[in-house]
Amino acid sequence: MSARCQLCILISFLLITGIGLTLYKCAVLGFMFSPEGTETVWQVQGRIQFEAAGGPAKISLTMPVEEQSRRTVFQEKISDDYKCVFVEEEGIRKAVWTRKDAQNTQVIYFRGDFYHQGVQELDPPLSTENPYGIPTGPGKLAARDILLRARVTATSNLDIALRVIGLMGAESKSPSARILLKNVKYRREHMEQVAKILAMDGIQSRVVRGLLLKGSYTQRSITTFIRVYTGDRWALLDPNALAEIAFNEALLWPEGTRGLLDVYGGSDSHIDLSVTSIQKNAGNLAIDAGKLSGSALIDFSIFSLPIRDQNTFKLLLLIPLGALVVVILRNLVGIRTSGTFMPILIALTFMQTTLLLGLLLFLIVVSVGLVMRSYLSHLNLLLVPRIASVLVFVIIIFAAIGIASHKLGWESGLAITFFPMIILSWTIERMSILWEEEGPKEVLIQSGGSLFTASLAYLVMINPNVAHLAFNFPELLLVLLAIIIMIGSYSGFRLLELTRFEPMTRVKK
Amino acid sequence: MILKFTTPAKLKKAGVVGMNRRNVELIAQNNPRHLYPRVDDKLITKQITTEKGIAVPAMIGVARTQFHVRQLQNFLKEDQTFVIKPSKGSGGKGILVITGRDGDDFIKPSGNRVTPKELQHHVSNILSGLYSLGGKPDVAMIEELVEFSDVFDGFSYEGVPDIRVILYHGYPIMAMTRLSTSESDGKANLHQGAVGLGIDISTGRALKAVQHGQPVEHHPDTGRKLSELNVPYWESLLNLASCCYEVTELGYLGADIVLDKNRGPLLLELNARPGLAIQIANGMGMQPRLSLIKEQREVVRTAEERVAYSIRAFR
Repeated sequence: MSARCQLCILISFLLITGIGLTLYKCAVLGFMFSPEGTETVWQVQGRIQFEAAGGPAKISLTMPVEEQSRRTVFQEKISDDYKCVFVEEEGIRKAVWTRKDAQNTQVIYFRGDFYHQGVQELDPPLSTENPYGIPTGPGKLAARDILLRARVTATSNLDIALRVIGLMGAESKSPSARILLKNVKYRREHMEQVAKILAMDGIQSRVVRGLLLKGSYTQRSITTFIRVYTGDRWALLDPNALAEIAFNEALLWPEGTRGLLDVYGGSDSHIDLSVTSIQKNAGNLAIDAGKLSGSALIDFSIFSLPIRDQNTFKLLLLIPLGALVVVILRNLVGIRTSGTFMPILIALTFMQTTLLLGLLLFLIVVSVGLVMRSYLSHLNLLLVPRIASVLVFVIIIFAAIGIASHKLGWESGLAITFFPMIILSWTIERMSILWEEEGPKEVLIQSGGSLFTASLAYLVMINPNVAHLAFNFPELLLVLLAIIIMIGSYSGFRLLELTRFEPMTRVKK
Repeated sequence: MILKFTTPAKLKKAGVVGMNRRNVELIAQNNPRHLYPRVDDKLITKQITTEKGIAVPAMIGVARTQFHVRQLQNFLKEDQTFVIKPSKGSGGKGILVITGRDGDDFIKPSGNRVTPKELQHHVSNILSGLYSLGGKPDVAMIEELVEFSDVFDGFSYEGVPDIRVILYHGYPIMAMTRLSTSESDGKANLHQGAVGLGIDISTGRALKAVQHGQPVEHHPDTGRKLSELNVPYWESLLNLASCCYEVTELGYLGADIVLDKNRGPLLLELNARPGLAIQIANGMGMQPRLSLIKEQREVVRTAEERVAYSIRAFR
């Protein structure tokens, strides 16, 4: 009972850990179950240019707000002559470039690639207090006028906000708007007036600076957005388009950011930004993003290995699946194979040669090998020299097939070299003994069973979806282990036993 | 060949034990691995069973080294009949039976001659592990030839069958004998076409016979009515088998026993992983018997008492 108990605990532990890690990678790290999923990646490139004064220069660029949903997959901030670091001041992240002596026109390039995994949820406003206050003096009446006119056609907070922005816009400059915008020079101040008007109606709003990602032009500039609390969520409004946009369609800077760029030791600075979007494989993106953010699950995983070794593991991680196929076919179905895990090795070979060619070559080598081996039986050789002789036979057969197929112009015959010759030698040896002891029928049953198992294992391992899961979610190995252990403790009937013992149920009427 | 399938529920109802249950419950739980050498190495089996007074074919000698091989001819000069077998062989591999002499040469049952050189070569092969599992070095046992009782005359095509008794915690629960046919090429292998004949534990009489899983009434070669087989000395045969439990301490054990004309039942071989075909030959599943014996495990009984219990319980 205690062993049974341990088994249950072990299996549930493996299942929970395996499935839990998998789900975590899906939900948090953005891994995809399907190999085909793609994500839109925004490539934001920047170019900072300034006239250096001739001494040390320091350029600091305020970084956008960190968002949980935004996942950076690539960043580059290095310009040859500059030292670059990220610093954090009062919760605001800045990239700082420094150089001891900067002369003439200086240019710094930087780039960030990222994608959004879902949309960021913002916390509702803490209090009803408005950071911008409400209009005072003559502006109070003008603001009330605009609000009244906005309310005529709009019902929801969102509509009111959009109408107010429209009424405060350049084209429809009403007297009220003119009063409110009298001393306004910048877009930001303009939007703050909008925020003040909305505050009179009790609508919470925030003016934020940001970069619109969506759009057909590559060249972009930082613009001002206003986000409005509709009563149950924040909505991001683009004043230029007079429309709501999704939060993941813009890159936003922290509230209250005035200038993004500060240049010490230089003048005439300006920044050019460009945005391009590309579609990329979601799985690769999740791995890149995880590496960049230093997620332990990625950092201590196969993905941290060099690409070439990763490819080795791509194959290695499929082998347990082959083992599962063998376990199922042997212990649940009851198929007899020659050599327990020989079918897996054959299946791996099939992956190199393709199925039909692999089957054909296997049959040729084994049958020729069996004929040659039958001669050795008469010589009464000792075991190891006998298998060594079979090995020599196998290599001769390999060479013969390779040369013959090349001469006949059938190049795929050269794939013969992918077969594991030691395993083939043992297979031939075992089948030969089986032939002598149990007869050809048993040889056919076992080699048929082996090839069937190998083919099935091959079909499982070659499946792109399976390969994707095995490589991207190695923790599924724990689930696989749990299944294998479960089958290992299965004491019920095998499928083929249902026919083997069938006469017993028939007779007993 | 059309495969006919039954349902797991029906098999369960028939009390059939499947391969997985045998491996997980019968073997893994009752047969500790460290006890395996007691049955896998026939020399150890012979030593421990002889110590306990269990009747076995008498030992003539053991060839352990190539030096012994060279002495063989001298060593065997008094013996007219004997059997040479590898100690760790399985499935009857490497067994050489000698039934007579002609000068220096030895005569096989088929009448073929074996020269002393060939005999030495055979023993040399045994020592180098030609017949042992995994090619491990082995020793060659030389035993007296059993003088088979004639009760099996006509029931077997070639050779003399042994009787397999399955013991569960020392209680005989099922028995069968495998009769070779011309189809099985004289081999007692059921899936090669030998006839499996179930034997009633309580009486020693033939129960029913199957070949290729199908019931048969007469031996396909000799035509002998199979139900006529009645194994003599049945109770002492079972006692002999049952004693092996104390010797091996294996909870699930197969004992292969032959009947000697003069000495009666002799233990030939033990098996720690006996197969399940015996259920087909008996026409019944072994689970009900296993369950019944399981309840008896607390009761301390001698081998004779266990046999008496089985004879009563499985009537």
